[in-house]
Amino acid sequence: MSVIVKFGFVLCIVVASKAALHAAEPVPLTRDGRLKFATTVCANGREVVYCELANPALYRLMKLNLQNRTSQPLHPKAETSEFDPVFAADGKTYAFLKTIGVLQAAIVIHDDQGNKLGQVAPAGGFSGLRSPAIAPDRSRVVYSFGEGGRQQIFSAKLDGTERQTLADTPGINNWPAFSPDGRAIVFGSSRDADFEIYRMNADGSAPQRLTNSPAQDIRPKFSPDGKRIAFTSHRDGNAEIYVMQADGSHPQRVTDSPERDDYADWLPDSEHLVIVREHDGWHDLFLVDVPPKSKTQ
Amino acid sequence: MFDVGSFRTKTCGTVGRRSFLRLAASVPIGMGLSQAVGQQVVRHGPKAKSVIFVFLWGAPSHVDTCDPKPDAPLEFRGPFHSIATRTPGLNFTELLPRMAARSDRFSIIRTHATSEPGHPDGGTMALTGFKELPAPVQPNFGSIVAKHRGHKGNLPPFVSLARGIVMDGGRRIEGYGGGTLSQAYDPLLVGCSAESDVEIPALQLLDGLNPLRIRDRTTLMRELDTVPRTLETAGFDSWNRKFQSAYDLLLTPESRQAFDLTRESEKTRGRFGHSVFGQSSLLACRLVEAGVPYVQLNYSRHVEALNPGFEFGWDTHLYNFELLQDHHCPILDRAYPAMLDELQERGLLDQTLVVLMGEFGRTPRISPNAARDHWPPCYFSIWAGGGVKPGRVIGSSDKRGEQPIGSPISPLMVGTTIAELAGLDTQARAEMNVLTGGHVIDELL
Repeated sequence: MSVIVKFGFVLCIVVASKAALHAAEPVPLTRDGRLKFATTVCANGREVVYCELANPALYRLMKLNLQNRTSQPLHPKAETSEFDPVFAADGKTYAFLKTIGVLQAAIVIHDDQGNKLGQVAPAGGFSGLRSPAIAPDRSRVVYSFGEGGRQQIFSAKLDGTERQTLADTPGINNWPAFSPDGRAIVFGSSRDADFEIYRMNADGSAPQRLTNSPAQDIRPKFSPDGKRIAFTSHRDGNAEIYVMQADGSHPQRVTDSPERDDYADWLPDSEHLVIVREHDGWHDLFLVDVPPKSKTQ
Repeated sequence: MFDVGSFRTKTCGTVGRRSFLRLAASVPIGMGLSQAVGQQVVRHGPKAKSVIFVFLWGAPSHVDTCDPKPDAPLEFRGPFHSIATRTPGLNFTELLPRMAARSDRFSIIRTHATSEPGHPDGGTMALTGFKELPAPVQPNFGSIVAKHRGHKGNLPPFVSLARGIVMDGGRRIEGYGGGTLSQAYDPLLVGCSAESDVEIPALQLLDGLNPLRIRDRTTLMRELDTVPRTLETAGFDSWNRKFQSAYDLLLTPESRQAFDLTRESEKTRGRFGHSVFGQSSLLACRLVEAGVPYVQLNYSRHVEALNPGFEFGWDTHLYNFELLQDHHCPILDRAYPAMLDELQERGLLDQTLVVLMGEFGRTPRISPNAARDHWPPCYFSIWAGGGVKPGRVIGSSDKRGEQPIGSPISPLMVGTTIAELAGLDTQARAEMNVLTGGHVIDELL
């Protein structure tokens, strides 16, 4: 039932977006044009939370209602930069980065009522965590953190205790994201050269490289059905969105724009993505249809 | 829109009240030059009629941008792929594809070194060629050019594009202005928003004055007597003494228009990217087109990145790779190439010297928290137009980007070269008592 509801809702969005949505034609979801980053779909596909440059000194989290296409600050009273939002599979629990001092940023975890569930604090000095992801069972948060000249991936309970190292290699490891069943994590890593997409078990075992291109492949996200992975690649000369099978096979380009397409996240139907597109120097969220070709491959 | 205050004002045809006030009030800093310097004689025809000094305040990583080291160990080279440019043998990182595609229009120096490891001192060194201490502080390169050139029409000879004096935390760079040449050669500070609104944040001196009622100087003076003054008497008197110049700038259409980005098409504005730096870059083009001799185009007002209350500068002690990837390089790689394209299309590049650099580099070895810290011994600059031979790679750094190979190039040499190309030869510099001991970077010419 809930799957039908979710699918029906997404369909409504698409139909409402455009009377006859062409599969390859991205639909604008915002129109303010401000610099945007990091999208995360929530509320069963009814909302998208993203980060925008609210003014030259502040990253702010915004919540977009996909039905009426209006955005409002997620935390209207926030006075310091907040970024890297991510929702858990329940669509209610979310984590984000918050600057808490001079070159200090912590992961803060909330429920959708604004209650703080936990915080993962940085170390002393210039220190910041990055790219949180919440396990589907909401038992743990994984994140990226620079330590010892490397950027590694860690896991911890929502209050920051019981930290475990999941990826500890030379280079930069970043953007961890869970599979829907919580058994796998995809992430980006420069361990072998430039950024490529990797996959490992949720306990950090069996890392496996999924991409191999001479330009950066970054920001992977599992589709809600677990079959595909969306990511950003520069392999064709500028940032575009690609989708590949969950084992790394059949990479397929989803967007084709002379400017930057980045920061994809899936809608619950696993057939549409919300992305940030740069267009004529502006930045807005767009809804993108993932071609079925890649799904059948 | 030309927004110089708390609301936007269309400049073609009318001037809003507060806009009028803030513009007028802020102008004396620059406009006072006209009376201070008179008409000076340029001894040699300058190759650069104007200079745009693009200041990447906070100091970008040279290894992650324009001096990649793909063969260095992983703890040095960073995560970014190296790409070819149009200049044989010159590679940039993949973060700067548009700049790479235009490398035949500029030359790059990879052997800069400075003695100052901190931002305030390093900033003053980068902008003046000399240490901040011992006092007195030497003049900004722009102030030197401003004194030499005077001004054209009613436009100021030195504009600094930022919403205030560039700062490190709460401390300003002492080398921002006239230094030993006096405050008369300080820049006119002009801010610009991502939405193309231009503001002059300096002063809101008076409230209640309606410029639409102003027809001549007499009526303006009458208005001034009737409005509340929000300025100390001394400050007002200082403003009032120079008010004629301000009045001229304000009421001269061609002067106002130079600051009005709404006169550009949406396509042109979009080409630069709707960021503060992007629109400021377009404004820099308009100012040199109007005849402003020196524009300091600051990437940000503050050095810090992600510090509460501060603009995002290039000081990436934390999140170096993420910030370069997500924020700084996409903005730079759109605006700077657009500026070169725009200047070339308007026939201005040959006569406009564009210099791009920070105050130092960043540690080639990745720091413990997976970022990069300050690195004064080795960094880069990029030079285009205005008498510079393009397509050259001048000097190189060692295999890890830690040290220049051969003689390093100092900030004083940067300033001396700018001055030379702007028409101040050795004798002119000596007579002004500036840039003493400096040498021109001959390889650029």
